[in-house]
Amino acid sequence: MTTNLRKERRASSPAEAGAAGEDAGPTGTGSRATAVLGGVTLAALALWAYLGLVGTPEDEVQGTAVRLLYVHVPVVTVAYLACFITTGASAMWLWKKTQGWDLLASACGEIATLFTAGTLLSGAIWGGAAWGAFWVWDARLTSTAMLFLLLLGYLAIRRIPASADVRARRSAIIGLLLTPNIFIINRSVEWWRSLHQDPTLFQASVSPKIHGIMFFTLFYSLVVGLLVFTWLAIHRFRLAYLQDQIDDRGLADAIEERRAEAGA
Amino acid sequence: MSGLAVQAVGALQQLAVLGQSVLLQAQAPDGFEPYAAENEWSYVLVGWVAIILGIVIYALVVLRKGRQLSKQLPPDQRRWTS
Repeated sequence: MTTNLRKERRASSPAEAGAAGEDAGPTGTGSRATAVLGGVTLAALALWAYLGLVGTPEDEVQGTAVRLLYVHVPVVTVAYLACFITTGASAMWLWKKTQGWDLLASACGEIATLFTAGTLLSGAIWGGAAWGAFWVWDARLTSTAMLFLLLLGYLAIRRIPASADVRARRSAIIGLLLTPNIFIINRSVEWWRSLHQDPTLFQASVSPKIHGIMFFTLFYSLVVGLLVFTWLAIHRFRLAYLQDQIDDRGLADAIEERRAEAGA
Repeated sequence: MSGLAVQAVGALQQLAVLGQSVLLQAQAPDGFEPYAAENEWSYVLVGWVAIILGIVIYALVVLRKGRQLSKQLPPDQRRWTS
């Protein structure tokens, strides 16, 4: 994917690179496209907060606590999406062995960890409001906690000092386990007795249980989650790319120094 | 790290109490059962604020780190800025 990027021209020294970076206008992981996307996302977030906190009515059963639905569901969805991409990118790395897939997997793996933590947190708070308990050893909650631990393991593996290929291979193998784990989470409410509700969306036998503005806000919150994820994933991917380029430069510089020492 | 977590939990609890008192005053006259309303709103506020804060902090960390790292590279290795 981006293996060819390694072959680009290098600055002759860090000082030169630093000077070039400062002269090059905008620095960082942003671009015009991400600035526009960021603006749209912020506006969408503002409308999401209005709809979720003010614009929607209370639920007949859950009362005000139903407003946690508009946070919990998109956070879960983004966590799953990030896990799917991590698994897909890990599989692609194992197949193609190109650096870009590893960077994509690492970027989405980190975002998946953040949003899985958000899933557990928002779920616990909602559980506190709806069930009177922040945590129970329920099948869905426990399997989600296992996913979180798996993601922490994924990030830990990436921090163990190793060559880029070894690190990519190790983390790709763990990355492959994420999607099967999500399948277990999804089915857990059917395989075991669960306090968590059964899946209601995308079930042919169940008609939508929410309507009107609540239904709209739920799906709008998914769109907002997708926007946030896209913005974060682009920036995090670019950050991983920058880090990789710097590591690559450090390695090349070290090799040149050794060659100079050997030649002297 | 654990100290930071304790501080974060403390801050969230304070926020919950604040939200509870504010919304109790705001909602009680409209015919809510005050006790139920205050409890639910505090949960809702803590949930929303915690998630939004988490995402914002992560985004800022990514932006800041990206800015630091990109200064170490020449512009042709940051092709998205061109």
